[in-house]
Amino acid sequence: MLVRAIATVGRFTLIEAIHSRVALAALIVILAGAGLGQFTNMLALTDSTGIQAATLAALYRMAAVFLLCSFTIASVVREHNDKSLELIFSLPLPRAAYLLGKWLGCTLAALVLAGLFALPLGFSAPWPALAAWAVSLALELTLMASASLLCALTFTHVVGSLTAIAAFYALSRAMGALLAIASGSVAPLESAGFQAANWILQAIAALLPRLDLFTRTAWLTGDAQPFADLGLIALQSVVYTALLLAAGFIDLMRKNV
Amino acid sequence: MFDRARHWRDERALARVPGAGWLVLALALVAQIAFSTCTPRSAPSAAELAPPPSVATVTVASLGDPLPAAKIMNLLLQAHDNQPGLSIPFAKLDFLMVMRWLDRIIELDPRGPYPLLAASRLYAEVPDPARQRLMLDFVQRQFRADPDHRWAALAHAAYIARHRLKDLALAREYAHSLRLYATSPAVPAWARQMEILLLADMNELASARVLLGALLESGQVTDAAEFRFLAWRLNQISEGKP
Repeated sequence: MLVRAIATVGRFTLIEAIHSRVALAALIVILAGAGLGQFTNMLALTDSTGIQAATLAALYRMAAVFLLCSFTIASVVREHNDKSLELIFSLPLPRAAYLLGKWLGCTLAALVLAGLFALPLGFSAPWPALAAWAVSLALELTLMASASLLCALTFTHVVGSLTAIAAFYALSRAMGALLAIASGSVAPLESAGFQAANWILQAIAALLPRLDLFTRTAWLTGDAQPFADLGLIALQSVVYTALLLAAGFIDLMRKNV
Repeated sequence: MFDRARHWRDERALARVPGAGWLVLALALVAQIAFSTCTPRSAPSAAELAPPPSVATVTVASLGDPLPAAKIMNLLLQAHDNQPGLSIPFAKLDFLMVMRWLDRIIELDPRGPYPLLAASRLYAEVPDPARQRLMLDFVQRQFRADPDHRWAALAHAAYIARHRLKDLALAREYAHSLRLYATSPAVPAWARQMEILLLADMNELASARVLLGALLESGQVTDAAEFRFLAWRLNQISEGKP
C-alpha cells in the first residue's frame, strides 16, 4: 500500500516534470552548449577537445542543477499555494508517502537529466570517465533535489527557496577552498575573533555535503581518476539524502495542513 | 497573543512527529559529521600552482565584473602556501608562476594594494636570495608603472635588499628610484629620503622599526587588516623570526 502510494506520487511528479518542459529546456541548453563548445574548439590553439569538454561539462552541470532545483521548488510551492497539498493530505495517504513519492519523482527526473546532459559529452570525453561523470551527476542531482524539497516545504516561497538552495550549493562546492584559505600561514591564528570564525566555518563544513568531490570536470580531461572517489560520492549521497529527507519529514509532520 | 503566534507559525507540536523521524535525523546527522570529518580535503600544493587564467577568462567567468574576481584571486594565490609539513612553505612555490599570478591580478585591479604587499612582505621575505631578487625585481617593475601609489612596496624592497640580501647597491638603486619617481605630495618625506637611512649604520631591527613604525604612524595605512599584518611583521622581526 505504502509502496504503491509512493510510486503513484512519484509517477505524477515525473509527469509534471515532463509537462513543465524541463526536458525541453535541457535540450535547448544542450544545443546552446554544443554551439559554445564548437566555438571554443575553433578558438583553441591546442587541447581543443579538453577545452571543449571542460567548458561543456561545467555548463551542463550547472544547468542540470538549476533546472532540477527550480522544478522541484516550483512543484512543491505550487501544490502548497493551490491547496493541492491539503487535498492530498485529506486522502488516506501517509505524509511520508507523499514526501518519498515526490523524492522518487525528482530522482527519476534527475536520472533523465544526467543521461541527457552526459550524452553530448561523449564526443569530447572518454566513455569510462563519462560514465563515472554521469553517475556522479545523477547522485549530485538527487542530493540537490532532496535539498530543494526540504527548502520548498520549509519556506513555501519560490524566491526564498531558490535563494537558499543557491547559497547551499555554492557554499558546499566552495567550502574546501574557503577552509584552505582560512588555514593559510598569514591568517591571524592568535586572534580570538578569527578562531571563533574558523570554528564556525569548520562546523558549517561538517554539516554541508562534500559536493567538491562530485562530478569533477578533471575526470573528463584525464587529469584525475574518476573511479577512486565514486564510492565516497555514493556514501555521501546516501547519508545526506537520508538527513534531508528526515528533516523534510519532520517539517511535513509539523505542518498544520 | 499565544494563539496568534501559533497560528502564524502554522505548526503542530514537536511531539506529533514520530520517534522514527527523529531517530533517522539523529543517525544521519552523526553519519554526516563523521563522513565530513573523516574524509580528507585535498590541500593545494606548490607543484599544483597552475598558470593564472587570462583576463578574458576572468572577465567572462565573473560575468563582466573582473574586480571581485581579482580580489578573490589574491586569496587563492595566498592559499597555495598551505602545505602541511613544510616549515618554509612560501619558499617552495614556483616564483615565476607566482609572479604571473601577481601580474594578472594587477592587470585586473591596478589600484589594489594586495599583490604588491604580498610580493614585498610575503614572497620577498623567503630565505632564498634567488627568489628574493626575482620578487624585488617584480616590485620595482610594478613601481615604475605607478610610483605614487606603489612606493610603499619599493621602500620595503629597499629594506629587504639592504638587510636580507646585504646588497647595498641594489637597496640604493631602489631608494634612488623612490626619490626620482615617487613625487606625489601624498608620499611621505621619509620614503623619498630612504637613501640617507640606508647609508646610516643601522641594524635590521632598527631599520625595520623606523620603516614600519613610520608607515604605521603616518596614517597612510587605513585598512585595519593591513595595520594588524604590519604590526605582526614588526613583532616577528623584533623576535628575530624571518
